[in-house]
Amino acid sequence: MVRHRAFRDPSVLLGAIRDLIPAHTYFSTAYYQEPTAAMEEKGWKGADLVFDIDADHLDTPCKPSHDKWKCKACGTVGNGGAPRICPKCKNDRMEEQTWLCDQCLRQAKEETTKLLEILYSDLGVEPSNLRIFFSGHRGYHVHVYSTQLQVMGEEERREIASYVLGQALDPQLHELNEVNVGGVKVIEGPQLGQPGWRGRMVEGIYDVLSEEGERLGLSPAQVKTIKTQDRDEFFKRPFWSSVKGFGLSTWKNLSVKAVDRRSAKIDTVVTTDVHRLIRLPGTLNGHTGLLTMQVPRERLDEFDPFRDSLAFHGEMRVRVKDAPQFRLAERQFGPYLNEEVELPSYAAMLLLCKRRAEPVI
Amino acid sequence: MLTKADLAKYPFLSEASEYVRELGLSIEELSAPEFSPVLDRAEGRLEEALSKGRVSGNITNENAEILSFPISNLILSLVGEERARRRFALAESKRAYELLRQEDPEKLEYIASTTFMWKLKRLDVKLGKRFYDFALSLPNFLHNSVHLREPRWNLPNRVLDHGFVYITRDEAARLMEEEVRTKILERSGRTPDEVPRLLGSRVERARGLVVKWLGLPTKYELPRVPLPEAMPPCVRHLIDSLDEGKNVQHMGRFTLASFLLNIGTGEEDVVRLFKPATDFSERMTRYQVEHIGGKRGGRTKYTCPMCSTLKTHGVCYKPDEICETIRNPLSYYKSKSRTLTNKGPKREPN
Repeated sequence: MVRHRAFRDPSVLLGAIRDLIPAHTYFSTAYYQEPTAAMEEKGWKGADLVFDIDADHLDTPCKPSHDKWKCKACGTVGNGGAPRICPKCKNDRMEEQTWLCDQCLRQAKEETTKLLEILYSDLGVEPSNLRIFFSGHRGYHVHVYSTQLQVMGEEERREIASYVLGQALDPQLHELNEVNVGGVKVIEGPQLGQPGWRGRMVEGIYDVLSEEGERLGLSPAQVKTIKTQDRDEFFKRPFWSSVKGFGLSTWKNLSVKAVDRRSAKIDTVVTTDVHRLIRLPGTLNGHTGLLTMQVPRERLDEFDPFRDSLAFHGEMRVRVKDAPQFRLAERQFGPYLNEEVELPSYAAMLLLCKRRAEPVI
Repeated sequence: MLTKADLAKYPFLSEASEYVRELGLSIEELSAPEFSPVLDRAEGRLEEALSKGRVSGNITNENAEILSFPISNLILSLVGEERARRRFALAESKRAYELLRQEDPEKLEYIASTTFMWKLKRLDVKLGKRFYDFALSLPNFLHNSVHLREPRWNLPNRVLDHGFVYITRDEAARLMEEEVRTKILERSGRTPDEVPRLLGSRVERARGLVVKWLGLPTKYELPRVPLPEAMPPCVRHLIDSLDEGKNVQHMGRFTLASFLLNIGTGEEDVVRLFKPATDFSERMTRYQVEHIGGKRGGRTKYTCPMCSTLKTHGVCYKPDEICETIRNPLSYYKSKSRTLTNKGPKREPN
């Protein structure tokens, strides 16, 4: 690993990358007086605020269909997440293989979109001070450049990470409460259009009410009530007190779920770190051969990581050990098992980087 | 905007320092009999802070109130006792809070923006039952709120609108209290070049007061042998999880190793604890444990992460009453082992 390097000029950096040919290239999000000094003597001046959304941290239903495990002792293999011990030899040393997946990346993009909305309207980040990147593998990075936020320490960043996740949000502190109006108990709470989590919580409740009532922990009677409600009509009136059989505890429970649906599932470790190394945009990701690249906000919706981040041209012959079906550009590939194939270089590189194939020379 | 009465209430303001400077008094001149109320008040402030943890906000002599404050700080910096400085900063900041919370929004806004450089907007918003007077810029809010532990100060429980946090008038005063505390702590930490002769006896008396109210500085020694009963719920849970062969994430492992090393557990014992982990590798574990212990790599000995960090990363587990009073699992251990072994005072005076 080559670390603690600084470059005054992009062309020098480019030269160094061409000399070293690194599989992975990272840069520090921190600003230092002396970037090349030893860690304690660098003189920390600040760090950009960064967010990482990675499929590794998302609970997508498709994972069992594309991730695999292998027992290191007896070689038994299986699909999905690895069991704790090998069912055959009871050994506990497992090797896991993950795979790129459209559904996982779509979910990551959705989380990124939620994050952006929170950054713009709650944190007040100017769109011009923010950049979005595809990581070249399983997720997206968002970098915020702001002199005001740069100087924040770990504790302050932790608060921001908690905010984005809606962590330990207490609906009562957002004034979801039971009040006594002339001897009648009435539930009051946040309203649509209120700033921050208040309005978002109500929007989340709208989402939550379309889900299966049983999964939300509602009673059969409450589920029946929900089914007869017209959701759109419902939010036109002060709804907290107008649903029969819905008391404060039910609303609190639904509010917490609503916040969960609207929160952005970021990796807290990345955001709180003030010395973070993060993938350098414009370089190849050594796990996939795909490009780590900036995605302009207005292009995020249509961005297709498996079409837009391909870096290699031409064709290559490889011997594939074993690979599931996958899509790159508009083409479907595989599944392959112990076969020699001629592939577009981008597809061959993915298999090589994932160690599913070997080059045929 | 500010009257002399304001300077007496808030002697930490830059205007108050300016006022004192303009009087052009030297420390020696203060030995004149007409200034004895100033020196007495300076000593009084210290004694009130040390004995009661509060400095009174009743003002009888405005001049003495303004002039005594820098002298209290000077004496404290000469005494050089960290515990006393903290206690004084806390007591003075509480005094400031009690006075600030009674001010009208205009004055609060003026002090916040001129002395603490806050970016503050006047607001006239009622949400639910609460009336918000101000919106404070996010960095200013966080800078102070991270020291406050009630859930209402956690960012997810706040109204955050385009980079500004809604706060009530009382909350503005409370956040300013934090600013005052840091400012005073910083101020009493500066060491003057020489001890003015006049203050010599006052400094000695202040030293006496520190011993009288805070006792001699004692260092409580942790038990030689680690006491499992004194470990916090999170650490016990981590140990149980490993025992049961459950997977423990990186932050949990780091917490466990750094905690145990810091309370004096031997490296071998720490390594052994990780054996049931599904991905256990003795060589790797030993390397990492030695790294955390400061024997390898950057040679930094790592301390245990703060409770707030553990909460963020989901390591915090079933906090109990002691957890309410501490911010780091090591303090939990310190406090509980002290009770269990019946040694030393129950609580360390700040």
